[in-house]
Amino acid sequence: MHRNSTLDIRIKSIKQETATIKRFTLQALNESKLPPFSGGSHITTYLPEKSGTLERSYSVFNLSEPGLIEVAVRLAEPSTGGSEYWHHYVSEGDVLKVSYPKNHFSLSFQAKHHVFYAAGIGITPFLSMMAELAEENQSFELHYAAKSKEQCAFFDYLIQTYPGQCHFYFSEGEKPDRLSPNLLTDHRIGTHVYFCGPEKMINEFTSAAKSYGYPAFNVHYERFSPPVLKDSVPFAVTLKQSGKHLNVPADQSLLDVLRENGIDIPYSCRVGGCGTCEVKVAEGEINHYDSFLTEKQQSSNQMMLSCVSRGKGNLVLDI
Amino acid sequence: MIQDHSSLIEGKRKFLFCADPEGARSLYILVRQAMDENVPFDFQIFLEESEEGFVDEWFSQQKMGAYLYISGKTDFVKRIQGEAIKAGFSEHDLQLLTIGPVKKRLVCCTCHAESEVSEQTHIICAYCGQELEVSDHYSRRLDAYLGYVNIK
Repeated sequence: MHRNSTLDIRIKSIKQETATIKRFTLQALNESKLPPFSGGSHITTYLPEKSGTLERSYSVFNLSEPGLIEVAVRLAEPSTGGSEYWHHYVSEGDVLKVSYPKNHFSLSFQAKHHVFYAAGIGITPFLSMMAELAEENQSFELHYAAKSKEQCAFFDYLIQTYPGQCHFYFSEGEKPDRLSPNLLTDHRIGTHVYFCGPEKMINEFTSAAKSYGYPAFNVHYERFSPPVLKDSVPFAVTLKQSGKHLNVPADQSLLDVLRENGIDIPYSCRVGGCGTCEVKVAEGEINHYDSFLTEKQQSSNQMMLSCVSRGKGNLVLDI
Repeated sequence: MIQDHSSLIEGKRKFLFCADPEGARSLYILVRQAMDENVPFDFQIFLEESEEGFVDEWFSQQKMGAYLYISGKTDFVKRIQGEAIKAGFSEHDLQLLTIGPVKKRLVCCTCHAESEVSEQTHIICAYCGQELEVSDHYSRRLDAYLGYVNIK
C-alpha cells in the first residue's frame, strides 16, 4: 500500500472562508489528477518547519473541479504549529509533501439514514461524505453549530447545494441557538450518526447516544487530537523479545518512546482512532484511552494502542 | 441468536415484542420486566401469517433506541427478521428466539450448492458428495452458513 510513500502537490489556490478558516486547493505537479478518495478521508501533510518536519492530518474534500484535493484549516489559538504554518507560511504555487488519502471515518454501508453533527471546523469530513451520499441518492441531514453566520465556513455552499437538509445553530447574535444532543432522540431506526468537533462536543454526543439506546455500531466520530489526559503519569515497559526496558515519561506516548528507540511500530492517526499502532501486551495493567478497540478487547488486557493508551506501573509488551 | 432471554438488554428506550402463538410464552418474563421497569413497549402476537401485513409500518415508524425481540417457529422468525432488517433494524437492535426445529441454509464450500439443515453438525452435500461440517460462519448476503470440509 502507500503507507510510507508521499505525493508532491502544488498549492493551486487559497481562499479565506471565514476570519480564521482558509481553504487550500491542492493540485498535482504535472497535469495529472490527484488520487480519488472516499467520504470521510484525510491526508497527512508534512510541513517543513525550522525545528523539523511537522505531521498534521486534515480531512479532504473537493468542491472544485475533478482531480483536485481541498483542505480547510482553522488558525488555532494557540497553534501547536500546524495551523500557524498553513496560515502564515503557505502561499499559492508552493510545493508540499502529503500522504495518499486514508479513511478512518467512513460511511456505514447499512444505514437507512445518515445524520451529521458538526461543530466549527468539524464540518470538513462531512463535505466529502455528503457529496458521496448525494451522488448515490441516499438519505442524510446535517446539523452544524458555529458562533455566527460569518464564522460558519461553507454556509453559502451548503445551503445552496443541500437545501432542506442543513440545519444551522449560531450561538452568538440576536437569537442564540445551541446544537443539542436531544436531537438524537428523534432519528428513525436504521440511522447512523456521525460527530466531528471539539473533544467536549464528541464526549457529550457519544454519551447521549449511548444513553438513548444507540448501539455503538450506529455511532461514528472523529477526533482531531488525542484525548486530553489531565493526570498522565510515567510508566515503564519491558520488551519481551529483546528484554529491553524503557521508561515512558508523563508527557510522551508509548509510540513516541518505542520509535525513538528504533522500534518501527507502524502508526497513522495518532489519536487512538485507527488501530494501526496496536501492540500486544503480555503482562501488566493498561489504561485504555483509544476509541478503536471494543470494550471486550480492552478488558482482555492483551492489546493496546500505543499512541494514546498507557500502562499502570510496568507493562511487558510482546514485541 | 438470543443471548440471554431471562433478562432484558439494558439501556434501551423502547421494546418491541413480536411472537407467534408458540413463541409468546417465552417472552412473558421479558414483557413483565419491561412493565416493572416502566419501559414503554409494544407486544404483538400474530395468530396467522395473513395478520402480519402492518409489520413493515410498525417497524419503520420506530426511533433509534428501540429494541426488538422476535420469538416463534423458524419460518415466522425468519419472515419477521427480514421485515425488521428492511425497516432499518440491524443485528445490534434485535434478538431472535426460535421455538422447535431450526431451519437454516448451508452453502457447500466445494460446489456452492445450498442444503437445508437443522441441528446436525455434519452432512453430506447432496450435490457433490462432500462431507461438510456445519459452521457458525454466517453470510448475511446469502442468508446461509458455510459448510466446511472436515480435515481428518
